[in-house]
Amino acid sequence: MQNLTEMTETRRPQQPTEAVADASSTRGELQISVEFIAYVAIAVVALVFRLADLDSVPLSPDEAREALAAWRVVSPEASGPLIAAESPVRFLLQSVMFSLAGASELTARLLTAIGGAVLVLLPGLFRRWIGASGALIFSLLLLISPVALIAARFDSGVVWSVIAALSALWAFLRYYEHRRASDAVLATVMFAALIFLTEPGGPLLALIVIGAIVLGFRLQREQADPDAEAEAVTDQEAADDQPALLAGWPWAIAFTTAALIVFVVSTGFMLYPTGLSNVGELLSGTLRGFAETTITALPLFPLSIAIFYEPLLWILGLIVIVVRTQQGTLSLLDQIFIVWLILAVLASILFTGAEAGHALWLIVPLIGLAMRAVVWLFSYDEEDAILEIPAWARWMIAVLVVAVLVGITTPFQTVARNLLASPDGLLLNVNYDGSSVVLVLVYTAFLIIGYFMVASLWGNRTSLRGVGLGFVIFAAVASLGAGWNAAVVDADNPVEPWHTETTHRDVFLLRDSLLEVDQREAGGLTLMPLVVQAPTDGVIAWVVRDFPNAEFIAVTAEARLEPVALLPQTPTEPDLGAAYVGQDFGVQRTWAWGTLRVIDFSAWWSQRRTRVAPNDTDRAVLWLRQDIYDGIDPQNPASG
Amino acid sequence: MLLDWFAREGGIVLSWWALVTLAGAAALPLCARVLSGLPDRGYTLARAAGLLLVGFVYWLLASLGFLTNTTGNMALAWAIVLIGGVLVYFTVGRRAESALDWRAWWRENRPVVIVTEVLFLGLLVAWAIVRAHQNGLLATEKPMELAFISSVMRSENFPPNDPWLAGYAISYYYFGYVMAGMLSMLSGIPSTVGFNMMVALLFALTSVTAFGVGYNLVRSRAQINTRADLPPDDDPPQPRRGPNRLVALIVGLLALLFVTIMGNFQLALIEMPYQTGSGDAAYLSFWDSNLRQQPRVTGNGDPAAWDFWWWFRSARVLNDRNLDGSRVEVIDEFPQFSFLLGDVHPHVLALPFAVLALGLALNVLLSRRPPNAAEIVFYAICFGGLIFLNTWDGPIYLIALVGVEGLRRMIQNGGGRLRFVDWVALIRLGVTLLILAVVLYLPFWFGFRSQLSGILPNLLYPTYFPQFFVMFGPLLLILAAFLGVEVWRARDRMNWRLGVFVGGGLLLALVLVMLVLTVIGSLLPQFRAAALGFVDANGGWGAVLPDLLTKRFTHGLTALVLTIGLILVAGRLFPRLTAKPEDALDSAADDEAEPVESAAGAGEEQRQVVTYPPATGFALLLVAMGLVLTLVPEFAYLRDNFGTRMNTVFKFYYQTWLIFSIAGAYAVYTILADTNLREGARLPALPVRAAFSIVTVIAVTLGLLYPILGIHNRMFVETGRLNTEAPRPLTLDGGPTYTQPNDYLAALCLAQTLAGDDVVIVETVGPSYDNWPHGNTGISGVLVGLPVLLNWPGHQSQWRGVSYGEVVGTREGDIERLYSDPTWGTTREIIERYGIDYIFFGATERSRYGAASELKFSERFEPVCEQGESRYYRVDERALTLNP
Repeated sequence: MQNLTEMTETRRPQQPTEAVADASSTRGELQISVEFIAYVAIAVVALVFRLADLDSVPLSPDEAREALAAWRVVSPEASGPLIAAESPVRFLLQSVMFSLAGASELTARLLTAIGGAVLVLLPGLFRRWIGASGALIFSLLLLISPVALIAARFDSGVVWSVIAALSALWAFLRYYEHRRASDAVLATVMFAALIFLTEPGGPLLALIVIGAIVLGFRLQREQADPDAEAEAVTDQEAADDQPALLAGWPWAIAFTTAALIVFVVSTGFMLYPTGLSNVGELLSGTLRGFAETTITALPLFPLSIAIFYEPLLWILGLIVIVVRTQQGTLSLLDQIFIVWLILAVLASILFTGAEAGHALWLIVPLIGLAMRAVVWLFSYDEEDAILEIPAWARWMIAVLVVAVLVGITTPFQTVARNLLASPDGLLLNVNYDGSSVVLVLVYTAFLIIGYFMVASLWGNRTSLRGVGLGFVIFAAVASLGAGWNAAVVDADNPVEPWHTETTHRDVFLLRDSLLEVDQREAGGLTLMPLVVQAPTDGVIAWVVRDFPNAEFIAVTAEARLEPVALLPQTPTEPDLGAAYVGQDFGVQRTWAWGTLRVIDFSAWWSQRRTRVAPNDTDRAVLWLRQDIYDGIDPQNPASG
Repeated sequence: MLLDWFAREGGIVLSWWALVTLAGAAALPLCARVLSGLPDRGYTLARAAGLLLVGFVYWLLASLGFLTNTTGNMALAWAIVLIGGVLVYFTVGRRAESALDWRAWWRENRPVVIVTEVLFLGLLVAWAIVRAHQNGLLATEKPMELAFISSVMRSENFPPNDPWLAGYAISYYYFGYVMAGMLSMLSGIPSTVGFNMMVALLFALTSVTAFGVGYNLVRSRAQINTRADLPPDDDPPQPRRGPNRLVALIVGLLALLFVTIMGNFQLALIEMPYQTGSGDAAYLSFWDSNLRQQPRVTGNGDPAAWDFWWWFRSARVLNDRNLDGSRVEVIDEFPQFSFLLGDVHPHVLALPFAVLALGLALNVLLSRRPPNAAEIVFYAICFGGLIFLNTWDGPIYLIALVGVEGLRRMIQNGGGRLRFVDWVALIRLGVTLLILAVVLYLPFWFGFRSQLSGILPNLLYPTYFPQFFVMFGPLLLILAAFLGVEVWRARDRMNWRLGVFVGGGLLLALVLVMLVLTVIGSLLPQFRAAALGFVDANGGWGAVLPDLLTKRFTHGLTALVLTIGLILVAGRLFPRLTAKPEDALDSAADDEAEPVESAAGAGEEQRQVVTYPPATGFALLLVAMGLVLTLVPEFAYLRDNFGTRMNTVFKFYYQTWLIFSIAGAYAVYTILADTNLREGARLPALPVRAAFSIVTVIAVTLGLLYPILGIHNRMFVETGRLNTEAPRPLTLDGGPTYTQPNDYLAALCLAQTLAGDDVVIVETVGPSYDNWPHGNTGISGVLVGLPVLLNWPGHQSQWRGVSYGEVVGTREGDIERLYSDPTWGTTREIIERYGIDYIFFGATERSRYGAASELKFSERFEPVCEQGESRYYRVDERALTLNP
């Protein structure tokens, strides 16, 4: 089997990659290469998947809180108190968007979704260390990653923290190579942004990345493999002649610049001085994250999410780690990613308040490692020519594998439903659909037997490649589908493990109802008086965001005789002092994963079907005073 | 019971330990750079410095509108301090690139680090245990202090709301309450717990910081003995022969003992003879202590049977008397009394930072160069913080800092005198520090109103020396011996002439000031009228003048002793000229930024030589400060609402105790164990040292009686735990002790129901020091920080000064009418005028106005919180207008 090491296209700093050399030799002229076109295509696809139907999903409670923080600053007449945001950079971006285009689900998420697309393209920065192919594959894997997709579509601050982390890593590697002050300053700025501007997990990610860099370099030095040294970022001699890394760091200017950037961004270019409090709120969130847990979240939440949504990535990544470790061919970046992964797993254990998006902490280094395997799968093997194995062999195998996997999907799901239907959850009492079981077994047998047949014909390596390719292709499609389902179709389904608590789509109906009443009462200017008994930073508050006369109350008694009141649903009808008409709306739904049995796992994993359905944990009732409901003008009792 | 308490509340104690330790950790890089003159590089001072810096950054950014009052922003302030400190560490200093060899530092300072950590944790837990026994939040000014802490915690923005004057911000030096509020919020505890934890923290922090100053003072002797030992350039000081670490640690512990634990002689010399009946009337009247003129009818040797709050008398030693013999109260506290009492008044809150200021001054001395920019900014933050903590402390420690810089210059230039360029530099330093302190704390200055309104002459109340001796006895004895030994060591270098000039001159100046102020006062109509009235009431000029003069002479011993002390200090600090050119030392330029006139021996026939080590000079300077601080009130005092010298004596004597304690600890060392003396100097003879040791042991032992008996009394006797078989559980939460249970629970309910702080609550107005069960007022402000319309108007008057009338207006009367006037129209008008959101009707209101007065509220408004018969009524605007 060809050495994976040879497929890494790391170069010594004095020997730029071919692509870079091409670019330098034709400086000043626009070069449209296949690689460039590939990146453009990736960008377009990334944007499409991240922007489409962005406003069809209601904001989650966390999203609502962040959006309200920005909205109430941009719109001073907005009802409710000012809130400190947990993500200063999102606060700034949302403030800009709300100023330009008003507050909506789309504008609240737009720039982070675009950020998610930028994240997909970011591996291009590492071309000089992982090669053009590696960087492209890295981007492709990020493109199809459901975790990256969902995080971007749900306005997760982790998108920005990972962008900052990768940028910081890139800048640091450049500094290590060239010892330019500008790179050091950039690295400092990125780390500062990661710690103070992105999201509460940012400081932890900063520690992870710094730890990964420190340990990665240490491991690299200890690895005495000449090939590994050839991949080292700098010559040992060059390193000896240069000043010590920390001593040469431009501390003063770097820290000052970083502080300035943090200050400027958090205060919205000094337009909102109190925005510095958002940094404090971020740090508070960091501290809370070590103490708080979300009951409805899976244990070791980021790790669980990463495994649940991207199991193939784990397999590929671990294979790369094992193989390259055995061969002693781990590059510097490999070492960094491995340590990053380990530290991220540790963080998943310690940071109990993590959100699902923090799975990106694990996914990014995993992709960085798995990328090696995928590159190997796709790359042309010269040995094949020697053995007269046709170039299309592995592709044919891949197609067959995909076909088998597609074929096995439906019967597998049927069997899963059979298991779910077991009345007492016992395997023995499952009423299997015989044909489906047989099909599953047949397809599985076909896969196994087919592998050995092909291997006898074209060899193990080609067979492995073909199977691997098949799985990768199938996983790519399935991942995109899984991501889209979680982000759009099942956005309000708390059975989706990503969602610890979902917002009911009824909130769109609620908003429509309010706007309709307002149309009648205030001419559509959202000026109607309204009392709301709900948290001032939740989903309901977001629904009434642009009703300046909305008043938040603490107790139901304060809603007495009010024309329009939005109150939590109670077992008995509240005494509002007059005749009222009410309509209830779902607000939030949750599902307890603790009700999941082992036997139900396959149905849950493949179809999001569960034995115990989710329930509405929060419902609101819109109460209209009778005269309002009847459309009677108090000045003209005959109306209505 | 202790284990049970620790299981329940030990986490709170440990969280405060962790928070303050983290604050110290954040400040460590900064301290390592700017406190590089200290042998431990500021490790022992880091906690106090860190807490102050984090508090400062947080307060400043919040006051400027950049931060809201949340725990996350406190974490941000911590991060800013850490990052700023790291930045300073790497970029400031002539040899910024030469980072500290932390391993060498650890080897050298491991013992002091370990001792510091053990001390801090141990003392914090110990005093927390004391407060868990005696957690009461009633009496004295605890309600006011608790109200400030509660308000700081409740306020969403800074400046915090005045809890007892709705619509206004606090007009007081509230920095200490910001720190207390911060720590309480970060540890997730209510203010009623945070109050008691703050007392414990202040005790531990002051102790550790004092320990650090004492340790560094003695340990520095291992580095520098005289100017001759100074290396030619700015290399880090190398350890030389000198006091070993154990000696320095012991002296540090002595400093801790003197500052925070030891009491004065009142218990030993007055209280015990009084309570036990062993002192007769003649003996007791000799001391002329208030309420202790005659022995008890029935003496009792069991302290548990002594008078209630007998320990309080130790802070009322001085007993000023008018010409007619009537008494004027004077407060003369010392730290152990403060901790025993358990108030978190500003003078107590400032204690650790006052000690820190002494540490900074020591660093100035030991740095052997003028302070650089980073150090000046750091000093200004600390000094300005002192002003913000307890305004009176600011000028005192500014003078200390500048004075020590003068001492440093004098020692380094070898001439024994300050040159013109030195004076210019000192003035510049002082002005720079002052300006920086004002600028850095500008938001405080904008809102601050002081009750101070001038200086008054002290014609009537010179201190009776026996009372002065009782107050400072243990320290006076030690320092008297110290001065004696130093005079003996000075030998022919003792500059008697200069000493008399300085001491006598100061005395004369103070007398002149007194007389000038008297003349000025006589020219002002309001003072002349009061003075003439006084004279008439006391028998006319013919009687008053002789009485005044007589009193000055009979009570002049205090001023005389203090002046003698100053003579000795000045004579020792500024050595006499000698005629030996070979004594001259080359003067190296000690100020790189300004040209220095050469002080080389060329052209001079006589040179003065400083013969004492810098640490001794520091101690002497501290003694001088203390002497001056106690001498000034003999002749003048600051004019405030009280109109007497009570507050001046209070503040000055408090700092004097601190200063004398540090100097006293060093004195013990240099008399008994100073083996690193310059050639020619020596230890006193063995009999002298033995006698000194005996006297010191006796004096300190007598002083230690106070904390031993006092703590026992507070913990077990007053609380009734001594005589009960089932004492109530220990707890740091003093909330239920403040008011009766229904009021307490209703207030907690309101705090949980309301969001934010933008409310106006009305409760009946209470006079200062009102105590339950006679009536507690301002409950909402005290317990949960929600502002009430007005409470404790007397204190408001002190805080607001001349603006009081304009600010408060007719609130007091309006509140009275609100409750008492049966006319709804009047009530409604008052509610609308002040925008009242909630009306409280609790036990005090019921007892004052009767249950019937509640009807007009209950008929119109719904109670939002109700506990028994204590209710908070929410003012419903609709009900206000619909129910005339």
